[in-house]
Amino acid sequence: MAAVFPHADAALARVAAPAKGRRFAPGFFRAAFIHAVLIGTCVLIVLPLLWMFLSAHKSHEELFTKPFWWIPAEPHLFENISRVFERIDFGRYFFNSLFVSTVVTALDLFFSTMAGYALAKFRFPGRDLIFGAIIATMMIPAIVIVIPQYILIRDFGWLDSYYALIIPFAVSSFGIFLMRQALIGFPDELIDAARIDGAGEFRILFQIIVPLNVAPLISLGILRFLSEWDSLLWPLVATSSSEMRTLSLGMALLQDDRYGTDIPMLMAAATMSIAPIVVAYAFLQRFFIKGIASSGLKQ
Amino acid sequence: VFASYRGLGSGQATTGLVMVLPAVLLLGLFLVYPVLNSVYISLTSWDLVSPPRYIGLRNYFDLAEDSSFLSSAWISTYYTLAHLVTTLPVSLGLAMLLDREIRGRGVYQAIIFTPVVLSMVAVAMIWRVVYAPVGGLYLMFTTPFGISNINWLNNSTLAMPAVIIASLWKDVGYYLVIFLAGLQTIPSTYYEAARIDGAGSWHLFRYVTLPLLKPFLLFVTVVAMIKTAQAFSLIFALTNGGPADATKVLPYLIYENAFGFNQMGYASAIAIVMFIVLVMLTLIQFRALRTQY
Repeated sequence: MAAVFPHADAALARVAAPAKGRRFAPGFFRAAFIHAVLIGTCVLIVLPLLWMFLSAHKSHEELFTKPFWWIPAEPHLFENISRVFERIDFGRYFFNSLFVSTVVTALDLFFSTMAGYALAKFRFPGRDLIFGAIIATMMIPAIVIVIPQYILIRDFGWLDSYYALIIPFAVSSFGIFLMRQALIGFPDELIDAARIDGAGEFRILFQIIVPLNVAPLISLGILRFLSEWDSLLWPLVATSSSEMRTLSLGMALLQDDRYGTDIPMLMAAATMSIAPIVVAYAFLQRFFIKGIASSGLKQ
Repeated sequence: VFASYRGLGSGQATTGLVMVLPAVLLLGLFLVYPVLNSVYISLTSWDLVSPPRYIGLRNYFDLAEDSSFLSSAWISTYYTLAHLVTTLPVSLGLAMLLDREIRGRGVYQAIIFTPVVLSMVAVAMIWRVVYAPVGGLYLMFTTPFGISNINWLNNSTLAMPAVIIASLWKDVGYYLVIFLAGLQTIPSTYYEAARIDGAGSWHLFRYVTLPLLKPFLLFVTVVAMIKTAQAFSLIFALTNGGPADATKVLPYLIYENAFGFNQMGYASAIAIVMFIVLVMLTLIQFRALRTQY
């Protein structure tokens, strides 16, 4: 059908989207259908989140007696939040997660950039072998090494400490890989010019290379921060005291059956735990999407 | 101090090695050594209290006859395949809808991607409440059909579908973005040429999109398989492996044997078997990559 009136369709497409029409020149009904499917999908995605948010404002009785869309006239959000703080040391867990994720991210950015730069721009014996070995370690799944890692950390006497949560993850093979791929195309002339001007190699790296390659660093930073923030298995096995719990672990244990039925309290906790990430995501969408997608597009 | 490294020649080799060294040491200690050690541990009987006792391949022979291992292997396979056949087609379909200049494209993509940035435990908490038998959000979809009071997470037939639906919700945006990147590598001139030849939407998909996307599809499928086979957090926080072991995937079984029952050797044997399967899948993935680029 579209082929019969190509110009009319093209004109419509231009009206619908100010940028150039790509691929199909969509007719009105086709566009309406596409929007309907996409809006429906977005509703299904948002609904559980919206429901979490509304439930955090309801009292326990209201949750079971009122319909979902009912918005409480007198919100019980603060009561629900105070019950969270009665049950768990939310602040401490939040701080632990923030601290561990930030330090791991910073260390990984530092070590990965340095190693990635060396692998991309220096010639030294065994370089390709080292790079190959690093690529190979990307295949190692966390669940396979959790037992020997636990034993190693136990032998170091690091169990139930920040060392256990941070040091084993201070560098990632994926980070090295990503930085090496990002820096390999960096112009050698610029590096040589800096050398001629008398800059040391580390100064070249941190004052010339890094400022000119912020994009892959942001991608890697977001990816690492979120994956540490998300981590559950390792904190579960490597920590034992309540003071060392991360937010993920603390929340997973909070929904223990004793409290499992206090839904408004659980939803208040869930809302507080995702709020900072969702706010950051709202402002930095593009970086989040690019960073996270980079983990699936190993190019 | 660094002045001696300045310039070209052998100084470069030293600097290069100095820069790579910390990463190599850390990866060696915390990744490579544990893998080797886990092969050794899998050949022992070890409860962490008394010293490990070497028992050869006994653990592996025991695995072959252990019904809990075989059942977990089946549950992992079921979960992984079911997750793939639900999530990937939905993601690809949505990616194709978004692979054009339409109003609100960025907004749609950003909303559908939102669950990806959330932590798995938060997602599990939300879905546990979605599945609450009384007052759960699922009622919104089932009451029109006169169905209520479903005990999703306490019913061994429904628990796995419940996990699969939650996984779909969480991951659809991730694969959507990956597929979109793949679709955008197909030059639009191919579509225009096919269109001039009179191809309809289905034919465009069947004879242009699909063949060109095939290596990419294989790659994404394997990535998704490896990722899903390792799922632990969602299971731990949503169903705790239950009810009656109905959602006890292999990673959960490893965790339980190692840190619940203190059977380090046996748990390591399970881990090694899983590792071998995952490595084979990864090799397929690298092969797929090579054909693509």
